[in-house]
Amino acid sequence: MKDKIDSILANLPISEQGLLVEELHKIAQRYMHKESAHHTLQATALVNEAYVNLSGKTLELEDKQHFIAIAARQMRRILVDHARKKLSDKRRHQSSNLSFAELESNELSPFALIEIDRMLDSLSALDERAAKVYELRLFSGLVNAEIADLLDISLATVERDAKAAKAWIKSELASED
Amino acid sequence: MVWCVYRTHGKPNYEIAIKNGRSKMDKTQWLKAKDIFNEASELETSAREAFVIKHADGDKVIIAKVLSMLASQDTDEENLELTDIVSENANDALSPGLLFAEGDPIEQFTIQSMLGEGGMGSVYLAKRDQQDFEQWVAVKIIHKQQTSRRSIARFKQERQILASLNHKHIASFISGGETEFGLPYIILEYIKGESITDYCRQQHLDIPARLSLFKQVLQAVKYAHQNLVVHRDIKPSNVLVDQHGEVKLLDFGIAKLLQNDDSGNDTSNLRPADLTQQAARILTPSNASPEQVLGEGITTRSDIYGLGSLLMHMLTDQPVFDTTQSTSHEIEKMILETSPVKPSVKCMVSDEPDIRKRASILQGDLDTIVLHALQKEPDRRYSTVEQLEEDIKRYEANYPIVASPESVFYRSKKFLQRNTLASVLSAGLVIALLSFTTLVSYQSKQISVERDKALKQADIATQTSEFITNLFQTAGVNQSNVADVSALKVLEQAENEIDALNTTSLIKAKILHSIAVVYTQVDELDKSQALLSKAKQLLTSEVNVLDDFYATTDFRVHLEYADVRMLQGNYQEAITLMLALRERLAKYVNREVFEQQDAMTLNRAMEYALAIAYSYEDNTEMSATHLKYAIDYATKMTDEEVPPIFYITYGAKLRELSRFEESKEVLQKIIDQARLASNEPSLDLAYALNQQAATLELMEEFDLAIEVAKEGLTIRVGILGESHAESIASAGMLSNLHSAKGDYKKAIDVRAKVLRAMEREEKTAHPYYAITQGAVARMYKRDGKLDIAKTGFTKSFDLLNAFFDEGHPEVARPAILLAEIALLEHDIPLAIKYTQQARDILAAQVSGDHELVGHLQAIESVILAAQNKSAEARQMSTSALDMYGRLYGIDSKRYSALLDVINTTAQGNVAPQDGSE
Repeated sequence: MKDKIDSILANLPISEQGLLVEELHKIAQRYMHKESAHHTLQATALVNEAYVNLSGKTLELEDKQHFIAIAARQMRRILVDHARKKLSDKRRHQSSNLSFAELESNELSPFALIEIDRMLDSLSALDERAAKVYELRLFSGLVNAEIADLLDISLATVERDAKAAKAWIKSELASED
Repeated sequence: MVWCVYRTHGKPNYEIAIKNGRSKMDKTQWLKAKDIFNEASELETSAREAFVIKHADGDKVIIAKVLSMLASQDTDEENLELTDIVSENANDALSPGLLFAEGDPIEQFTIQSMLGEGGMGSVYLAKRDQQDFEQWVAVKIIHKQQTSRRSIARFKQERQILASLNHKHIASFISGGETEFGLPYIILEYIKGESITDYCRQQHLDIPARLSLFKQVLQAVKYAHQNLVVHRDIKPSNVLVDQHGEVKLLDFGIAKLLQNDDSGNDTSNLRPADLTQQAARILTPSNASPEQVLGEGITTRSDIYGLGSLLMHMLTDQPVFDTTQSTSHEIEKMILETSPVKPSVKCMVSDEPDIRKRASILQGDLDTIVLHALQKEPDRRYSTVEQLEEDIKRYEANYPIVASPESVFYRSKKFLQRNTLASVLSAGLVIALLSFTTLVSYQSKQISVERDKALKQADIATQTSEFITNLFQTAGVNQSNVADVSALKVLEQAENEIDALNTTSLIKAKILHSIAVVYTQVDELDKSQALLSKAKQLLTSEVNVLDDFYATTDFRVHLEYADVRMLQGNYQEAITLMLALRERLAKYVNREVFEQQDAMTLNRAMEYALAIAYSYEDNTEMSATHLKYAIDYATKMTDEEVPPIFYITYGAKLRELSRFEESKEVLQKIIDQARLASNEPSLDLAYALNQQAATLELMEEFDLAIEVAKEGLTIRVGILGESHAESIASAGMLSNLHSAKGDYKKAIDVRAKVLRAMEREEKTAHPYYAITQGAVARMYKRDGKLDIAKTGFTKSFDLLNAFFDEGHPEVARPAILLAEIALLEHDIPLAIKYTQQARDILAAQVSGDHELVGHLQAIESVILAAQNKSAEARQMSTSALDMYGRLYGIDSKRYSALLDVINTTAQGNVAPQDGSE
């Protein structure tokens, strides 16, 4: 689904897109070293930190919120691409090397993420705003009030969109056959 | 709930709409649905459906969608947290790859290289250099990105399963722990070998040699099942043959514990089943069993399928299905629908002449055996590994195999088909429970002796197995509630039905005995006793048949009965019964009823039982004597080692008899033996070390004792974790040794470490935590830090009080020590308060001589003296000291310690002339 963020992202020079990705990776690695294993890495925290590190220095963007919207979309892409690659690698190496352990622990998550990505796209076809709101909830560190500010809608609308989007995705995931 | 409404409305098309969930809505419909959803979700749950129906203006798509959105909101909030999924993927995508680099240390090992990566984690090769040998191990560590609680729990479960399995054909567990980053790891025996199928091929093994290797696999899987573990992933790459030609089963990464767990927490099931199934469709492994593909319950019979698939590969050098060119969907279809080709046919059509030659050997029984194990429906397969093993042995010995259609087994199969429910799980679980193995192994031994008898035994096996299967069904066990139905319920059923069982009294007695053993193990002693009495009666009616099966059953029933009486506290009666049984056994042996080895085994069991009974009766001397006899019998048995526990208990008894030098010698012997037997530390070794430390303590060889205790502690912590009861006991021993040397700081450190571990693992509600608190406080007290000690005792007292709602003597200990401190601080009223509390507790819990009663009396005597009641004080202190004299002897350390307590607490509270002697 093409939207404003996609087009901003597309217009961003390749070098700066690379910078963003690189920065996200760097921060992620620092997190993993710093934190105990029981701490689950938050994609949202990464995006926020990337903004702090990059804004005003290398990236020329209008404001924090725009940056975050872009970074969140970028994060979504990174994660979905990774999940796809992971599943296709597995499928290539199928046969006897694959056990149910991998299926139950390793594969479910990428599989689910790809599904979520797909659901966000389908939702976007019906309700672009709700899809964007929920994308920001999942992949950026913005709270509802900030999302409201960014998209220039009321807080109540953000809340209702987010709740409905989440329930919709979950019901789609659960009822799929 | 949602469904019911629509059924009552008689509009089943809503259901279809919900099921087909994928919305076919347009934008307008969605906006309307969104509004209705948001409004409805603010309402009480019960009011929602009506609201939705009312506002949807009959639009079925909207109704269905909104209801399923509301339902998804209510039901699986925790199961399907979308943000968690994003986080897990972020961890996976963004975290650095390798966890270890060459040269990194882990425990006493150094990482050498990476061996490979699995689903849960990576495996590294590591080694330990010693002066005269090097030890190679495999270190399995969880993936960094697999660090959700779910994965960690699963990984730890694997560790727990591995630590509990100790078998020569299962790669052995060496140690486990967590890295500095908190990532759990497992250290395993490193098997340098190749997969069993490669080995067969490369060594050009003939069919008998392949079968003999396969039987080693069966040993390992049978052992796992007996320990209620299902492997779930038996395939060539998990079954290696090492340099000595021994089979080693690997990778319990997805093994499942079939335990009778009331909590019913199955960590594998934290995700919605449908999602797992969708993923399964994409990623079907070619070795999966049909029930795995379908996402149905996994049981011991799934391993039978895995074994059948392995045997097929071993016999034909090809997997069951050729999946190299197949998509997942096709693989799935094959597993579910395609009947496997007979091994002989597979060979016949092979390109290789060597393989083609095998066809005639495989044709017939081996074909039948493999296909029987590979049946699509679990309950049509062999129900246990024993049965599969039995058929292979029968094939080898040229006896008709049980799997053939006209056999007795066919009957039981028919029987299973009639009763659909539980057959899937039944036999494996129950047979493990009821030590049915004894029957079957007995049977297989007999096969080589005489045929008729073997057939009779086979009949016993079948009858027993049918009976047990039936029990599971009547108890309402099915695949989905394995965890909920307690084994006790099944056993109760067994009791009720045994009378109706159409079989001989001898077999009934044998079954009753099996059930009783389980009851004894779960501490239902009265029930066990009742069943054994019944078994004893049944045996008297069969007394004319004197063969070894009868005699063994007779002996086992009587011994179990005596054991139960002992456990019920009737030590004297138990000893009398055992002595009578000992004579009876001697008669059997004289009449040469048993083979020599069996006679030794039974004699050994007899002597050990007597040793334990005497030990309960506090007759240390007789206990030691019979232990010695047990050891002598065990030494004479050629095919088995003396169980280490015999030596260890013997060493402990010798210490109790103050025969310290002998005790030290016996324990040293078993320690050396354990070290010789294996490079890897074992729990037996730790137990022996702990006992040796106790002996050395009494010999006042403190430095050596500390060394020994430390090693014991390290082993236990490595295997069991820091907060396991045995590790705590080891830490206690070490701490006491430091304390005996006067090194309170080290003593406190050791215990404090235990406390921290228990806090970390949230085990503070366990009485050990309270007792350890008290022990630390005691050392602070000895060190003169009374304030810290007081806090510790108070905490310990509160925790113990909270834990033992029916009281326990140990609760009195901190109270007594608090009274002691109060006296040291000259606070007589407070001391009186605490002694009263302690007296109330002890009065309700103990009668006669007791360590704590003596201690309490000593404190009370000082209080009485402080109140100028010198006559009563003297009487009380004499009573206390006499009690310690009786308990420990007047030369004992404890006696003089008690004297010290009286003297030090008296200071400042009573005039010196009133103090006790």
